[in-house]
Amino acid sequence: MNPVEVETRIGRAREMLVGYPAETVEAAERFLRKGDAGALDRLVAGVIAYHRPAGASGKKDETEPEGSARLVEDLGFDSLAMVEMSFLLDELLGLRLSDDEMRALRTYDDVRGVVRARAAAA
Amino acid sequence: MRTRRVLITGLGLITPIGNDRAAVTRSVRALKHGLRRVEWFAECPVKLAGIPEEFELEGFNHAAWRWSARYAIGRETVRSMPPNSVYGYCATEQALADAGLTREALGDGRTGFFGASAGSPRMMAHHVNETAAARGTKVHPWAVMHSVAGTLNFNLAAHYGIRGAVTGFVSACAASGHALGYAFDEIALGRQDRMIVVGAEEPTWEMLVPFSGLRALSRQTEPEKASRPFDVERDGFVGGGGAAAIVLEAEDAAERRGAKEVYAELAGWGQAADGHSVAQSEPEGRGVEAAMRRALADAGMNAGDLNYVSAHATGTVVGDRAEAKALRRVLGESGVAVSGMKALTGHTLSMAGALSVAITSLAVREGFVPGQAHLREADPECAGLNLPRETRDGAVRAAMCNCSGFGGSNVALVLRKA
Repeated sequence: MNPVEVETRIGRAREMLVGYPAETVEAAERFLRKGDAGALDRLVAGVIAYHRPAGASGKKDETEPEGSARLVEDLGFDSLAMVEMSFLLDELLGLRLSDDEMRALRTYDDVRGVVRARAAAA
Repeated sequence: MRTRRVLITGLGLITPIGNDRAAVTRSVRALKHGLRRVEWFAECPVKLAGIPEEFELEGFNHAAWRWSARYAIGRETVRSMPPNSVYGYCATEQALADAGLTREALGDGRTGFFGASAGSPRMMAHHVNETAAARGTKVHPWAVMHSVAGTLNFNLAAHYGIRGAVTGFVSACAASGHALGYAFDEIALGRQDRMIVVGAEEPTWEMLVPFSGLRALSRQTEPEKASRPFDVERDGFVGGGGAAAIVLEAEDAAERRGAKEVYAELAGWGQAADGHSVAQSEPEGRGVEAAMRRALADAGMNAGDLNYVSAHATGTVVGDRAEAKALRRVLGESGVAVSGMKALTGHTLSMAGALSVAITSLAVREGFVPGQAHLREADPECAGLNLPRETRDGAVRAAMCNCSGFGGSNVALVLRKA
């Protein structure tokens, strides 16, 4: 990407991440500018936390889950939260996930893995 | 067979003339309009709209939207909403609090929800364009829910856990009038004990500017000259939006729970279509006349029993004239006061019937007769109506609210002091 494209993508990312914690926005910016893998992981963590539905108590669990945590069974994701999260990651990082690839995401590690593999290529 | 009286026990108002009943009452008493200058496009001749204050619902990221600090809307609630449903949510919260009802009480299966909205042209255009740009390979998860006409009832009925009758009405500017009429029937016929009726519309350029294609909008830039029902110089309507929420309850159900507020009885309603034109009123107003006569018969009343009529009166040349002719035939020489609230609020489209009934409920409850704002010289073709120039104190024992929509649908609703 040339510098103009990078800045355009950062601008779009900032718009998409309105309402997210500052560290998530910063992580997106750092990844898009420098390709920093640690920043990408922090971005995924922020996106997972944002899309994780509030439980029956109405309170969100803010602690970062283990990598083996299952999105649906452990983190409470429903199919709507899954498509919303996938759509955002797609838009943000140009992943172009197919429906089958999205359906194959079972755990936090699965999400991190596919994002690491695809974002670097995008 | 009807067996029960239907009462109005809660109101919620997010409008161009105020965001609660006290503010709306003040505006109607002072005939203070809520039309604002808009600069959507420099070249665009539409320069005025009725837009509620305290709301900023621009752009397509819900996290950047702002609403009145009086309401909390969680991310998981707002994410599937277009602007009209945010207004609708706040009006409903207000109406439920006003009625003394909590969310928990609404899932009893005896409570229903009827919505009236034209949907969200803004969200629809955005999602359709994005989908086209991606050649159908990528569609926003909420594209449909953000856009279509039923989104108001989808969002709110689900949020409130309603298990009774839920549907939406799409008869354009008669839609919330129809919603109220059919909600009245649900209760009167014993099918439901309580109905929440919400009319909501978003005053965006995508919603309003298209009406200029029919030459239906005023080209004036001064509010006092722009929205002037029955005036000889009227030249079209000014668009508006927001939401009006009304709680209807069977008298017995309201008594059982000790409802704290009763604004008025909804005593009956009637409808009749013009059978004339897709877009224009039938020039003699025969459809709206039939709707009014049916509403009065439904309520078991005569025109002489009325103290006030809230006319549809959008400020278009043809529409106001047709309604005036119908009103003259129905009201005769009775001298019943008539006024059109769209001078103050603009024409809020699908929301208009509910807004008219809500304002008239306040008039019945508090004892004032709303005056006709922005009337300099009554059109001779609208002559013979008693159009008071000011809002005056005075008992309103019974009143009628008219609304009419595209295709010639007409609805009239009769309110009576409870």
